[in-house]
Amino acid sequence: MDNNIAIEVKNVTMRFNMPHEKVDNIKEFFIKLLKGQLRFEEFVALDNVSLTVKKGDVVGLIGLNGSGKSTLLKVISGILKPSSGTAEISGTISPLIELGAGFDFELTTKENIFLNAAVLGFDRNFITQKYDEILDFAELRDFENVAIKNFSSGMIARLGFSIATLVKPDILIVDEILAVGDFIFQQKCEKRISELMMGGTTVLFVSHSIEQVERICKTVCWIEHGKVKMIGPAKEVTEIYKNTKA
Amino acid sequence: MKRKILLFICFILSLSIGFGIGIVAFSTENIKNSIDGLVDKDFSDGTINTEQIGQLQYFTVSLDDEIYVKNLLFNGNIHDNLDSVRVYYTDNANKEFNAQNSFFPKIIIKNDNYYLEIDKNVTAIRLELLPSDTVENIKVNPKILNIHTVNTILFTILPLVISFSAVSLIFDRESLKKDILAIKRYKYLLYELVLKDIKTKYRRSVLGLLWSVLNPLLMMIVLTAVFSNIIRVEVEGGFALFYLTGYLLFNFISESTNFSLNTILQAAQLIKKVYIPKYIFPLQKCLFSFVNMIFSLTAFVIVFTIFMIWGNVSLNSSMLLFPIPLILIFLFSLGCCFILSSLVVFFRDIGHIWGILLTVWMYASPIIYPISILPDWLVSAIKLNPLYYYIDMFRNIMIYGRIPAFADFIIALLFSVASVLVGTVIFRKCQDKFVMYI
Ligand SMILES: Nc1ncnc2c1ncn2[C@@H]1O[C@H](COP(=O)(O)OP(=O)(O)OP(=O)(O)O)[C@@H](O)[C@H]1O
Ligand SMILES: [Mg+2]
Repeated sequence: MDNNIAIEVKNVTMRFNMPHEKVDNIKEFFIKLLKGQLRFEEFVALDNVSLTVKKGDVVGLIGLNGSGKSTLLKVISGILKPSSGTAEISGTISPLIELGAGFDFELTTKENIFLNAAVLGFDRNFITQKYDEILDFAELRDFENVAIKNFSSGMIARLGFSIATLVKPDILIVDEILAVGDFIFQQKCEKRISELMMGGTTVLFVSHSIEQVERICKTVCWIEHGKVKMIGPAKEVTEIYKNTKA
Repeated sequence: MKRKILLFICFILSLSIGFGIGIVAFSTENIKNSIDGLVDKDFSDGTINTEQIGQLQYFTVSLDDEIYVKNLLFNGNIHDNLDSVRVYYTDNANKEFNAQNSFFPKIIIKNDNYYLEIDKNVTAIRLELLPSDTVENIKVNPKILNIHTVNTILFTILPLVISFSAVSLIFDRESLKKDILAIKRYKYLLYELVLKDIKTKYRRSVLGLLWSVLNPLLMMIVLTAVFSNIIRVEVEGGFALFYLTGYLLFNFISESTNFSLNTILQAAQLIKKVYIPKYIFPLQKCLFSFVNMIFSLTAFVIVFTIFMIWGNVSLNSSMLLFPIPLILIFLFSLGCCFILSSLVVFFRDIGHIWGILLTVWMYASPIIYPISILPDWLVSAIKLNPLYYYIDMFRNIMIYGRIPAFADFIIALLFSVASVLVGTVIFRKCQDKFVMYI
């Protein structure tokens, strides 16, 4: 991989097997197998997608619901293994895919900070030092010992964001989680993201708020039905996207 | 193509290793004995001490050192009935016999030889016979009858399994390497997860840590009462320690595999939303159970100390080897955890089946009975059970102060390696699909 390339997605196809009926035990499996009813329907969520992101770029992903944005981010961050094609990244990655990624909803804020930090590969001492910083950024000091299953979506997003951006990652993936934060927190996050960008972090950004995408991203990639429909400078792509939407 | 050739070579190699060892062991007894690190002792040169006291005859053979004797064989003639033969044994240096250390052995007649099962560490043995009986050419040896077939089977199958899974892993080495190196980044996570398990376990029950010690102790007391008074199982060193060692090891296997059945499903939230090497989760459960077992070993230490004060057992340098069986059983169990945790994602009812299998497995392992009370064919069958080797090794080291037989050690090692490798292969085949089934 080229030295100044952060993410390289090559011809990635992601197929999901969708069984007609859910078979999850041995008995049913053999009954279905004997009757010859063990059929799957294939669903192609990503169809031959290629995407190259240079280091330090901020790329927005847009597209309608179910078009495959989150699936692509999951392939990039290694959560899903593509059915074919390759996705390579260079450096450390902080994936904020969906709300509450890396959290255990039964645990308290405090326990989750340590858990999530360990998921990102930080040790206990380091997090103990940074603990206050995380709580303050997320503005959750009063909820330190509350189980996060009782949190509002915005509060979960804050916590996730403040841990994921604590140490400058080489690649930051933000999937819609900012949408649930209030406007003050969104501003705070945008500021953090720009700081990271200055420091050379590559950002992949998914949002249904076109204004936000235009404000933050230089390049935008538009995905439709699992295919890259268009990729280019932010303004150009979003203009066309907005028009088709109407 | 290359792969097929490699597999074929492994196949031939394993067959030849297994049959080689089997045939050699079968044809030349002495080599088998040197595998065991022990030698036959022959008393046909007239060093048998014969006495007649009252209505009974005594034949005494005396050994230079204390050694482990599996069988005693002699030719001669027993006229009346085999039940009248009584064996006295002693393990002290001045070689005194008393009625306490005596028993009526199991006797097998083969080619005009009488085979007596001894299975003890002794310095001298005395046979008590009726006056009409005759005895010549006493031999004692450490051999176990009919063991050759079992060894042949194991030394064939285990290398076969190991080499096949190794080949499969070698062809996958790039991503295997990546997965293994990932432990560097995720070691804190593993630590946090194990710590969380330990905390929740000991926070939940009031007795806390005490419980993992009391539990085996109570089990031991009940079973000892039953087995040494009602059913009367004779075990060297007393039933209590014998049972406790077997129980602790089996409990580890049973706990770790049961925990890992749900581990992937429980981690669904993490697995679906962040990248984590998935083997962390079965590894976590296995480590957690291992820590539990180490805690529970306190029970063993307590009972051992009590018995030591009574003088039934004594400290021995062989105890320093204790990590070996523990590490081996950990690896073995880890392999099982890999297999179970991945299969259960696709077939949720494996949990129930495993519960039944565990019960069967428990009775098929020498936990509440010594194999010496079993007929030969059953002994052979039990020696196909990997747990036998770990438990036996642990008991030899911890209670009897014996270095385990070399062949048994190798078999235990092979079982562990095979289990980890097979587990890794299966787990890696499944892990990419987890995310779609949880
Ligand atoms: N594990 C799965 N099994 C089966 N189908 C899946 C799975 N994950 C995603 N899909 C399908 O893949 C398609 C793309 O989903 P994805 O979550 O990537 O959409 P998205 O672009 O992120 O949408 P949104 O804007 O709503 O977040 C959807 O139709 C979804 O049903
Ligand atoms: Mg999405």
